[in-house]
Order: sequence, then C-alpha cells, then structure tokens
Amino acid sequence: MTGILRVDSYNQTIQAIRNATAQAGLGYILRIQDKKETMVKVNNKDVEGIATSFLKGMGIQVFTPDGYTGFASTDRIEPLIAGNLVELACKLAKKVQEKQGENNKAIYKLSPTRERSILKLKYPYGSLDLNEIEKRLKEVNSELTELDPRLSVRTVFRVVDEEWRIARQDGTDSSFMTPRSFIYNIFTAKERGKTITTDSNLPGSDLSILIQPDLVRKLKIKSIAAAKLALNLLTARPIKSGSYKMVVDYALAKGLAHEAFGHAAETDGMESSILGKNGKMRLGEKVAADIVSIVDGPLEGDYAYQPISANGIKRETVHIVKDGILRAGLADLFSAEAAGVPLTGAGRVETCHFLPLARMSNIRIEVKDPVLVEKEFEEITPEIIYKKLLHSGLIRENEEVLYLTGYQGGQVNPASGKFVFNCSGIYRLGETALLYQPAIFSGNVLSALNSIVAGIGPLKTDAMGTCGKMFQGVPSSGGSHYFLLIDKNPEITIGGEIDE
Amino acid sequence: MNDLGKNLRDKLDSLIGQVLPSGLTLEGWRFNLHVVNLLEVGIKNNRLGGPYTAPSLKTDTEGEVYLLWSDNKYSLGQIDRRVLEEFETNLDLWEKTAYLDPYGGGLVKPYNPPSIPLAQQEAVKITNGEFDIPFNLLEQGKKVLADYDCQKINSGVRISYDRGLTANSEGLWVMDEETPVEVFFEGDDLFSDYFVEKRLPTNKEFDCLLKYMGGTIEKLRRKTSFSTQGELFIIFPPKVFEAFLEHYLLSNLTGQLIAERQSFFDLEDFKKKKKLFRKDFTVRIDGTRPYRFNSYRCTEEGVSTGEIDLINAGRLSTPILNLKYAQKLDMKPTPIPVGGGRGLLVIVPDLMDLNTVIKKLDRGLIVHSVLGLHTQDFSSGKFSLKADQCLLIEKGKIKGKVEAVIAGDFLTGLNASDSIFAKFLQEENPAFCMRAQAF
Repeated sequence: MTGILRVDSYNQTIQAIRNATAQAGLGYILRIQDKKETMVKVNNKDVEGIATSFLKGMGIQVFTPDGYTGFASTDRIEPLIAGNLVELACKLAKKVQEKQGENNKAIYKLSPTRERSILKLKYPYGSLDLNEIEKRLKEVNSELTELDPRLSVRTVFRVVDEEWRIARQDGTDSSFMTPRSFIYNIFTAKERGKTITTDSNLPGSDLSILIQPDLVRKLKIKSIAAAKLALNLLTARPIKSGSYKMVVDYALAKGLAHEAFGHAAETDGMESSILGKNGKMRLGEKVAADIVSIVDGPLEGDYAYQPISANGIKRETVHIVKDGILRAGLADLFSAEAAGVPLTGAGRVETCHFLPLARMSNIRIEVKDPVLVEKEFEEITPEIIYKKLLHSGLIRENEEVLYLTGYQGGQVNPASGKFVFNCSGIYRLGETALLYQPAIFSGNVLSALNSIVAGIGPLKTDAMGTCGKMFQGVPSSGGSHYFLLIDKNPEITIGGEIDE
Repeated sequence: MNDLGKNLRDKLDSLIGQVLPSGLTLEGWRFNLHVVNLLEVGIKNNRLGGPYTAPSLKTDTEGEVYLLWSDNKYSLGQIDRRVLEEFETNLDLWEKTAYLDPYGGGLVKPYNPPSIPLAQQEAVKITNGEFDIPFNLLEQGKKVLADYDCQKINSGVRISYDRGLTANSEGLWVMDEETPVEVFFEGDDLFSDYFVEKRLPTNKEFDCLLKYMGGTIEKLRRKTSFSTQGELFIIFPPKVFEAFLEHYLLSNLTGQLIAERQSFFDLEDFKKKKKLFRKDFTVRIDGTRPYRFNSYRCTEEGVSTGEIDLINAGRLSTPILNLKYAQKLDMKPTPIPVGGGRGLLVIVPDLMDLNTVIKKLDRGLIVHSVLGLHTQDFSSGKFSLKADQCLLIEKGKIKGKVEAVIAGDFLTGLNASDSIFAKFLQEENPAFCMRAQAF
C-alpha cells in the first residue's frame, strides 16, 4: 500500500542492526514502535486533565544458531547503538545456553515477507483541534451529569496513533498501523449510603467517535441506559445463586468467547490448556453446540485491529471452532509447530519493550440461523428481548430466564478450564423485567459453549477491552449476535446469594 | 540524568514570564525523570529463558512534565530522553493541550526529603551485566519446588535500577536511586507467590517463600468435596487480603473519587472522622523504611514520603491526596501508597495465630486464589467471585482443596465484630477472616 509512515525513517537503524547481527552470526526479530496518544478526562462537567504521551523505541530479540534467545530494548532508535544492543541481547542468549535453557529454531524456518498496511482513516489523530475535542467531551459529560442529581459522571477519551515496523534476518521488513480510540463514561450513583458504578463505552480507530452523528447518538443511548442502570441498581436486590437459562448481550458474549475459549486456544499455553492433549491441540474434537462457530481475526476500523504480528507475520482470520468442532488455534511463531497447528500470526506485544505472546484480536461467536431483529441493539429493552424470545418459541411464558447486561471483564484459568466474567446488571425477564444486582458468571470452557441455544439479531463485534497476560495488556475486542441464549446447565452458575 | 535534568530546568526557566505565540504565559513548572535499566528472566513450563521468557534488558528514560500557565491553565505531558531535542514541537503541543483547572496549581517549596536507602549495590550490578543471581534464583526455586513434586513451574525475576529526579520552578531538586526486585513462582497451576522489595531476598526469605509455596501446593493437590451451601467463614491469606484491600479500600480512599462523589466514602465521613470500621483496625502508609518496596523519597509531584494513617482505630482519617485534590478539598496532601494493596499497612493489635483461628472454625474456607476480582464494582464494597483454589476447613481441620463461588461485602466485613485478623508466617499484613456466603 502507498503512503508514508513515521517508521519509514528508520532504514539506517535497521541496516545497522542487520550488520551487527550478521557479524555475530545471529538471527533476529527487530520491533520498532512509534506511538503518540492523547487522553482527555472530564469529571462532573469540568476538565480533569489532558495528557499527551509518546513512545518511540525498539526491541531486538536475537537467536543463536542453536535457537537460544535474548532480548534488549531501548528508547533510542539510532544506528549508533545497534551494535551495543545486539551485543547485550547476545550475551543474554548465551547465558540461557550456558544454563541449558530452552531453545527454539522456528525463526529460521520462515520465509521473508514485506507487508505494508496503511489505513485510510476518516478523522485521523490530529485532525480535530484539541479545544474542539475538549468542548465536545464536556458536552457529552455535562448532558449525562444533568440526568439526575444522584449521579456523578467521569468521561475518559483516548486516541492513539501507533505504528510498527518489524524486521528479521531473512529480509522481512513489514510496517503497519494500529490506530485506536475510545470514549468511556463511568457513572456513580449514590443514595442513602449505597454506591453503584456502571459504565458505557464507544470504541473506534480514530476521532470519528466524537464527530460522526450516528456514533455520537449511539454513545448517548448506551450512556443513558448505563446511567439509569446505576440508579436502578441502588434499590436492586441480589439474585439467588444457581444455574439459570440465560440471555447475554454481545459484550458478555465477547467475554464468553474471550475468557471461556480464546485463551485456551492460544498455542503458547497448549501444554497445559484444557484444549490440549500432550501439548497438541485437540483438533477435530467437538467442543461446542453444532450451531456454534468461533472466529478470531483483525477487522479494519476495530479497536483491536492488528494486521501483522509482532513477529512480522500476516495475521490470519481463524475459525477456531466451526460448527461445534475445534479446527484451529491462535498460533504464534514459537508454539504453532509444537501445538500441531498452522502458524496464524497471533503474536502480539504491548510495547517494543516486551516479548510477544499468542493473543486474540477480535473474537466473536457466530450462531447458525439467528433470530431476526430489526431494531438497533441500543434500542432493545429487556421487555423487548422477552417478547422476541417468546415469539420465537425459544422460551415458554413465565419460564425463569435471566438477562445479563454490560460486560465488566473476566478471567480464566486455561489449565483448569474454569472461567468467570461479570456483568453490570441482571434482569429476570418477563412482561416487566425485574432488576437484580450483578453477580459473577462462572463456568467451564468445555460445557459453556455446548449450552448455547440460539443467536438473536445480527453480528455486533465492537465490544472493547484490554486483555492482560503475563503482565502485558493489549487491546481486545469481539462480540456475537446482539444476544445469545444459553441453556440452564449445572456447570454454569450465577454467583449471587443463597436467598434473594 | 543530571545533564538532561539541568538542561530541561534551564530551558523551562528561560520561558517563565514570556508570552508565547499561543498567548499563554508560563508561570511555573515541575517535572520528573527516571532512567531505568530493567532485567527480566523467567521460566515457562519448566523451561528457562525460552522465546516467551527470554532474558531481557530494557533501557528507558521516561517522565512527566507539568506546566503552570497564566489564568489557571495547565499542561501535562509525558517526556522522554528526546525532550530537549524535540523541545519546540513539545512546547507547541503543551500549549495546545493547556486546560483550565481552578485547582491545578501548587508547587512544593524546596526541601530535603528523608534520605532513605532504596538502592542495593548487588542489584545494581545485575542490571549492569552481572546476570548470575537471577538465573541462580530461578534454578534454586525450580529445584526446591520439584522436591515438592511440582510438575509444572512458571517463574520470573525482575530487577530494576531506577535513577529518579523530581524538580520544580520553586527550586525543588530531589534525586534518588531505587532497585525494585520482584521474584515470582507458580506451581502446577495451583498456587503462586512472590517476593517484592527494593533489594534481593535473603536466603531465609527465599527459603521461606518456597517452603510455604511447596506446602500449600501439597495441600491443594488433595481434593475433597464441597456440596453444601450457606454462610461460613472465609480466610484471605495476606496476599489475597491485600488484593481485596487494593480493590475495595485503596480505590475508595482516593481523594479524586471522594471529591467527585465517586467513592463509597463521602467527604463528610473524613471531616467528621466517622467510625466505619472496627476500633482495632488501622490502615497506614509508611514510605520511610529502608529497602522496602513501598518506600520512596518523594512523590512525582515532590510531596515528601512519610507515615500517615488513612484509617485510625476504625475512623476515617484522610483520603489519599495529591496536590490538586488536597487543594480542592482544603486538606493536606498525603504520601501516596506504592505497590497497590501491599502499600497499605494493616495494623491490628493482638493478632491471633492463624492455626488457632483454623482450629476454632467449625466450617470455613482458606481462599488462596479468586478469579475476577478486577471485574467487581469497588464502589459498592460487594463481591461475587469464583474462588478456584480453596482449602476446606471442617471442625478445625483442613480437609482438602475445593472450589466455591463466594459472595459478601468486604467493607462491611472489615467492620464486623466476628471478623478476625490473624498473624500469617513472615508476612507483614495479617490474614483476614470474615463471614461470607459460599456455594
């Protein structure tokens, strides 16, 4: 693709690294990062802070001919320090060899690639005056703050302009952009000694989230719903703990895909993953209901978009599960072969100062023959969901069904297959839905996906988050149909309390 | 560091009083700079230094600049080693990002904060190229845990050498050196523990860490059934307790959230020194102890380290306040806790021994790990969590490992008369035992 990137200017440094590693007889992966970002925070109508930051640096991972590896990184991208950096990384690699540590020669089996991914953003970083950004955010915040005197509202906006360049000893030299943005509203409702916090968000890749009327409107509808939820939760009771038939929204479905499945499908953990056996991925096994597929891959314009891996390999869109059968893993350079799956370019890294790990990008659950829904997701109330389920014959009248809304993050132990995620609120569905306090949703990887009964509405894949693994956080996103219906299963439980 | 700091000081000083093209006039500044060398190495799945845990050395200069303009306007920007090379570009950006803040002002007057030893020469040598010690720690730990039949070991060592400078236009100039050290082990996906201080662990501390880990893993291997549900006592060992303290107490004690009505606590609660916890419960910040992980000379704003009670004998004492929120709430700025919940010291007189507590319990759980703490609403005080690594206690004895979903109110638990704080091995903070629901 044509166009100029800031990382194009580091040719001399790349050449110096190439010379230094060739002289030392080393293989290498060089990662150059150039990031700038702006963050604006508005709290209860006033600007709390505007902060700008930059990150320019490079990290070099060297490999001895026997595959022992060491890594050195710096905030200087200069040809003059290339020799010193290579020498340091080499010294560390030799220490691993001396201690008879792990070696991996996968780096020497790759073919060179020269990928270039430049996105044409509608409203890129810097295209809107900061005063205008501030003004628009204050408007968003003020309008929400005035909804109710019991509410306080904090608005956080972040826009990131990030570029990467990855080079290897085989001649690979790939460059790409990973732009992202979000607006995040946090609502705190306080009354008579009770405090409840909820949130709403709108992710994107540029400043469109502040400018495009349809996006501004979408955030407003989501935010009003989150604000009302916080207020209503002040008087909500805890739900009785146990197993239920449940509807989850697409953001929670993203949590289900991400926590209950995605992490277990990452090949760098296959030796102990519930989806592995003797280190190999259990390909061909039935792991979900026949109607369920799980897909992970980069989507242009998405918050977690990354077209090329941190090891310089093109990121593939992967059908991890197709029609209920485990088909592929999220495989990075160093673990694909051992896991017995094709390399899919899943290596991601937080900054150039870290080592890449196998990670998800945008993960979504797709269900065959979803129930059609005409309305926008943001317009659908719990009562509308109830009617839709009834009319579709998916539930009986007066059947006990819970609706979980608002993803609050999750966690998994890929070795045991236990996962949890949390919601903002729980409704007992009916002609009039009854609200309960949020409670933890917990289950087992291998039983959860078998319990998906139906998808409701079209696919929606913009549920955003930050995924933490081995002390690194990277943007993540995903989704599903507007809603998923999950059958009652004793292995899937809602926390809550013993009695309502 | 010194040259970069001095040149930046001179450059900023030269701008004071000048009307810049944006129409802004610089009235003051502060900045901090850190030059950091960080060495990391780890073991993943028993293998030392593979592609995911390769030994790595990071060199970085990072910091933050805060500019005070005329008419109550302020700018905040991250800075790095290129701050002077790219000064004109940065200045232009800082002018553009200046924002109005009636409470933004405030610079610390020059003073000499306590000189606390925080850099260990042995650790400095490691980041300068003498790499043996971290490799030896990993090897030794792996060997000891293997003696406890651990089949899968993950671990890591992180050692930093951080040279810091905090300065402002009033003449503040504080330099410091620190060597934060973290050593982490996990066995058989059952249990993990860590050492963290601003020095290397002593042999005794390291042995104690591994012995405790090995013993706990052995207990967690013995599964038992847990079929009943209801209210019982749950025990949080100190590091789990600290994670809860961080999530529920530290967040709610933050001055910014209190000022903006986004905390469980209200400003009036602090002004009236309201008693919300048991009278034997005190929570303190102490940043003055040599080589402790939560010690430092001054905050990024230049506020001195010190010792202060956030909760004293059950009564709210002060929120955690930086300069802005101290000014906004008309209170004094406080030291800032470092290291999350582990930066809060829980002081309870007459601690019981944990084994005595266990013997007294008819039914309870020792919760060694929870999934999903970060997903909980800190402002409500309530939790609903999967406790995936628990030891069941029945009639005063540990029966074996179980899993449970636990639910309760942590902040209420801290005030409950039947909650118990217990001494736990070499840990500074106690274990905490409170009533909760489990199934």
